[in-house]
Amino acid sequence: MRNLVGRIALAAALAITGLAGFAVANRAAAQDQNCSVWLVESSRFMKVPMGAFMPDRAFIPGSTDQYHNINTVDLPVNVGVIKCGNELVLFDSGWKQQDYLKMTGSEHWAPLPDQLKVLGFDANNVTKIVIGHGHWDHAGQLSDFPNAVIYIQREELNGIEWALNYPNPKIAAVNTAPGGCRRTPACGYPPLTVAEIYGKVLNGKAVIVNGEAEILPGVKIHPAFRGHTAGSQLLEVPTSIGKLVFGSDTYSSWEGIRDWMAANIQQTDTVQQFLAYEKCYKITGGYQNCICAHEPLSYTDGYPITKNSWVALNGGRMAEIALAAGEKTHKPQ
Amino acid sequence: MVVPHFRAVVLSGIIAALFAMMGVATHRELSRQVAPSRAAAVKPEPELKPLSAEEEGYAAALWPIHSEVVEVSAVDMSFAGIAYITEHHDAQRLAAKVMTLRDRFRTAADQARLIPVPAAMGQVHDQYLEALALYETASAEMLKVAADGKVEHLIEAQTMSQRAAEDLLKVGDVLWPGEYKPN
Repeated sequence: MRNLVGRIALAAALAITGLAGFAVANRAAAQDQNCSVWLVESSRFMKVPMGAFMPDRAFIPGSTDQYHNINTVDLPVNVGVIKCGNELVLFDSGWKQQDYLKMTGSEHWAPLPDQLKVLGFDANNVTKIVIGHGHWDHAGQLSDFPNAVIYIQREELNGIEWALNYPNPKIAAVNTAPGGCRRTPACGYPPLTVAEIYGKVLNGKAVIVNGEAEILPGVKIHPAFRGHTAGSQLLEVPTSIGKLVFGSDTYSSWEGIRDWMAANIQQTDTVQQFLAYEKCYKITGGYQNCICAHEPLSYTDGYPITKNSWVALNGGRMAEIALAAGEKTHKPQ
Repeated sequence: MVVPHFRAVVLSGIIAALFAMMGVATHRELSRQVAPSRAAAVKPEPELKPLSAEEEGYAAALWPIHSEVVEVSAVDMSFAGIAYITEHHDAQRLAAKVMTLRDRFRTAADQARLIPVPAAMGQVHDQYLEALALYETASAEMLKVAADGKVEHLIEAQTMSQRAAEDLLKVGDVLWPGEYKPN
């Protein structure tokens, strides 16, 4: 009898150990799943005054100081394309240039579905779109990805709604002067952009996020509230070259992260922007793997992680950043 | 008899193989040529057409209606729907909000009709009023939810309001070019 009890206890112990081992291995395997990552230039804003982009680097005529000798910069609008197993995820979705929405001093725009096609992907297969923030040039084209679920922070929606209903019209969610936001702190959300977000909500294709969220194994949303807008968010992505962090406009400038300078100040609390920079250092171990939305050096050796690049549709550029095991290059040979 | 037939088959096979090789070579060559030319093609920068003083006056008169009432109400309309779906699910509360918005669109249209319209702006003006009418129709569609609770009304209204939002941009492109700057 005692022998039987002993055997049952031993079997139970072995079973529990086995199950625990399986769970640990399974979790490790899930966490180890690396993603492939590309960066696509949705369009390029031309000749933006450097001081408007980075106040600490305002142009001083005749200056030889590297921080004050650049007059204007061309800013790419970068969209992240992330493939994790069978999931195809976008980080930001650019904007849709039309014959009626063209006068922004932008060049090289091409429809994002066409850009994905060139990269070897079908827009219908995009399963998730993480919107770094809801501004018109980062949350557009949503209707062109009918099967994608969008992820947007509740705080972002609250921030838009707050500005929308604020009694002083100089603080508004929409443009307050012909010609743009004029640096009013909460604008940049035209009716079309919000209507498209609403369309996703209505069709059951929206996840309203409250803070942190893991959308796939190891692919994590981190809040960066007021890093650029009220409900800005970052996306951590595991890859074969280490973790990457996408930052949308909270990470407008990679040089800004490297040199600890504020960039693209909108609703930005610069302390929160710096805390978001610090988050990238902590997650990735430095600044090299921070993926920025408007870094002028994108697709060049000056921003090393994006240097494996080529010119694609309408002169827009693309970069292959990391490939998961078994994923072949999508760069044209 | 057999030998000529065999020769014909072999000859046909060789010709077919040659054609196939030519096809593959041509396709490869074209693919090589197409990619760089597509990559190099850059659409020309659209030119801004300056408005006359009279047209500028019209744009300036319409601006406060557009920015302080229409755009705000349009975004508010989407938020009314988002709040209904994701938060309160209260059709009466939604209806109360949408009724206010419907009245705002109606008032905005009445005010816009009072603005003197330069001849060259007739089409733009009509397009603007049509957008406002579409928003009003969308509001009426949303209000039906209070009667039967069917979310289909919201979906139909959202389609209309998205179309109206595009119309606003079309008008804005003429009257307030560069309205949207990098954010």
